[in-house]
Amino acid sequence: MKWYQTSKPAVLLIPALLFLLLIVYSLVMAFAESIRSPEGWTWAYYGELFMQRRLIESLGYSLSITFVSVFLSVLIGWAVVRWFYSFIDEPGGKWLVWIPMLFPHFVWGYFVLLLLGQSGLISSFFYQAGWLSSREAFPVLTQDAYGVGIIITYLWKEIPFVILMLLPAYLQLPKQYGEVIAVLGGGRKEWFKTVEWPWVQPVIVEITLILTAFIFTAYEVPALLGISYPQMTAVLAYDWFYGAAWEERSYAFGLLCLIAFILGAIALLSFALMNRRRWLLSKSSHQY
Amino acid sequence: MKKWIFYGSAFLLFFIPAILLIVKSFTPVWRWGEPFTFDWTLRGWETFLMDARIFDAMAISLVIALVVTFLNLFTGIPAGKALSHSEFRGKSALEVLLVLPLFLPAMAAAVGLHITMIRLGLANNWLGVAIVHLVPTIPYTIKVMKSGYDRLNPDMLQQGKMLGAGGWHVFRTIELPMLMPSIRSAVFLTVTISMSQYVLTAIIGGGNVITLPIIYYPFLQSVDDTVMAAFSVAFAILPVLAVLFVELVATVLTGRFSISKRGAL
Amino acid sequence: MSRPFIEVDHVSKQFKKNDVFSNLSFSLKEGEVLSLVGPSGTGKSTLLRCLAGIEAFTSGEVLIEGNSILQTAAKDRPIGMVFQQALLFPHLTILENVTYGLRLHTAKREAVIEGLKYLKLVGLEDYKNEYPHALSGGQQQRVSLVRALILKPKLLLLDEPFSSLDPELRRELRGWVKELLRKENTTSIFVTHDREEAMLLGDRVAVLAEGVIQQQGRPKEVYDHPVNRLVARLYSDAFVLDHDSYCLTEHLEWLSEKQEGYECFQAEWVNDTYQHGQRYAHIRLSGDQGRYVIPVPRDQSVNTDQTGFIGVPLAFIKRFE
Repeated sequence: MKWYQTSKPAVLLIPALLFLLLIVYSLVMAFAESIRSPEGWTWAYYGELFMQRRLIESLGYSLSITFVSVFLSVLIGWAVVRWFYSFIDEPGGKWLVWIPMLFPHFVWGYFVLLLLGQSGLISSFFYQAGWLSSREAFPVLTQDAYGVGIIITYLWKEIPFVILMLLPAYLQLPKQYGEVIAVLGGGRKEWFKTVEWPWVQPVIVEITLILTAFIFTAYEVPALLGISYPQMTAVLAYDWFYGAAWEERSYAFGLLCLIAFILGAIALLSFALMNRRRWLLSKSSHQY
Repeated sequence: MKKWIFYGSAFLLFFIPAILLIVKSFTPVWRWGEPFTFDWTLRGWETFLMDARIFDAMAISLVIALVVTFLNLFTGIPAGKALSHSEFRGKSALEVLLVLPLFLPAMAAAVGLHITMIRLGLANNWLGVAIVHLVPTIPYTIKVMKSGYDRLNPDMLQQGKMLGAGGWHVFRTIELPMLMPSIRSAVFLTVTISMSQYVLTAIIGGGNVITLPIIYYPFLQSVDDTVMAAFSVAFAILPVLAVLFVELVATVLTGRFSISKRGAL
Repeated sequence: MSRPFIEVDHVSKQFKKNDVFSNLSFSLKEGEVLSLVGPSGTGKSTLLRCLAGIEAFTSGEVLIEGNSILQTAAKDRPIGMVFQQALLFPHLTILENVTYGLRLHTAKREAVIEGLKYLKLVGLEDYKNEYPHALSGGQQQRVSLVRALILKPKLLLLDEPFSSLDPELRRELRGWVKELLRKENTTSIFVTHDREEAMLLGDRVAVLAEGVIQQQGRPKEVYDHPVNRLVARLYSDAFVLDHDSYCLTEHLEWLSEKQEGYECFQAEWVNDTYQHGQRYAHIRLSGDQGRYVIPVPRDQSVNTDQTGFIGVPLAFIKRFE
């Protein structure tokens, strides 16, 4: 109760700063583990990491699944918001979009398995309808070599996420600038270039970064819908973390630290690049 | 026309799957290639609810989710207020740092905390699991609460203080009711995310903290779609229950409960 | 005689079956400034938005140099508009803002040369690389005006451009705008609810109230000869005796007793103020029939709250026509 009686930002921020400390501490500890060997500090594990065939294969597999999932989720979610945002803002529309958000990723993964697996409901229905000769004639969409099932699950879950994150940005677009552009002789193209894109771009970048980090390093869905080789990075890291050998544990720490470092650097760089324009936009004189 | 395209596809892609899972939880197992039967049964839910392991898992998941929610609000509300209503050096940098965990692998934080948790006796303990669940949730709560405060005019809070109300009173009677939509979203997100954590829970809980996600995976092997469907639907019901619970707490806190009672008299 | 430069002919606008305004007609000569004055909420802004093409008239016709423009989309109409807020694009520099419209059709080099010329004209060339937030409200509104003027519109619409500024700045800016419009010979419609501004900027004024133009003419003409009660109240300073007659307040006198040669109305002296050396009495008619401000001699001694009469000299009573 006491923390609330003062409005000093420093006091209000104490819990948040403690949280930040927790994060920094955890990352530092993970890093320390990655360079610790029974014989003392060493960078050796980072070198060895890239000699692991399992990892190389995993990186290519993970990157392509992540890229396809993120690209399509953002593109489709963005298109949906652009065309339909007035309906999504209605209570009914919002509830519909919220439904997939309610289910954990692995539950949705199970649903995809139930629906699209070779022994799934659709396959069964097609067989009953006489469109399919046997179970094996149904395409392998889950636990497949290309990660189609993983991608389908992510798209199904992340498109609503993209929609809900982008919706406020679209509802708050400064429409008055549309009128200014019209009387200055500009059309839809100028509206997009001068208003829509500058206002929406930071949110899109943010969503892209969140989804990339999440999909690239999530364990739950690939554990369910993936195959045993190649594995997505998180599954590999998890296996290594529980591996019997000391090196494997160190590989797990090293791999996660490396990913954290790269993703963190990309995120900080993008924010630094967008910061000035974001600040300028916040000084806009329009009124809603 | 546009409206129909949107509602049609949202209905088909978002609503029907949920309905399908609910229907499946009340129908017997459909064997491949055999006709779908609709002999309604409660077997799935009975199995789900009668299983002692599941019941314990549900209880521990709820406790963890509520503790995580409380810590989220405790952190997110004041931080949102500070980030929205005051100016200080390094504010935009701090804002970025506070959402940065969303752009990092949560698993890195979990493995980093593991050894410390063991030393502190928090590994294999529900409290340790709750702490690690803060990593993927707090950044969202801070974001949501900050935009909630952005919509709340600081002068309005000042007005409350000018009229002689104390800080806590202003919070209870002005901020809390006006922030309710943001709090609702934050709670919803927090509980859903907490309920979705398998790997973080597994690493810190070390197989001793059995939450719903932890036993969901072994259950998948059972190939009993009826029970699995019931299990799946339960995941969506729990966040709704949690929001109702928080709503109740907020109603008592803001004093609207007693006012409406007085009105009835 | 040739046709007027701008001709607005019986335009109407309905919103949800209600008339916002109906059958408005007026015309402008080239280079003329028309002040449109009237209370808020009478569709002045809507009229401008319809002329600009942001909204559509329900019926009527608008001709510029004899050609109808209503079939043309907003972006292709030779009409510029300045809004209540400056609405400069916050992430573009002042020069980029000013040349925004030009750049759609002209090469960058020419646009920049033209933009700098205009910025110099309004004394803001030092700010060309600044962003809008660094400018004061008045400066921003000047940039916004230049952004519209640089396109040399055949008609410029100004929608209460000073309303978001403080009084000091308003006074400074309006003289400046008047001069610029004259220099550029820009045909304009200036909307305001401030009659002082209307008089100052307009070559002519039109009083818009209750959805119709009540009267238009030269500023002084309308002031001295209001045609009805509404104009008398909104634009002129007149004491309305009844439906048919009025007397300008400058002729009114404060009488402690009824006198010959005056029509007398019982009233109460509320208080008095001084402006530019002239003393003004604030009078409330008995029975709360309204308040008036009338000039009184400085040496007339009156106690506050004294009851007396507003004397309307019979010789100055005029009929609305």
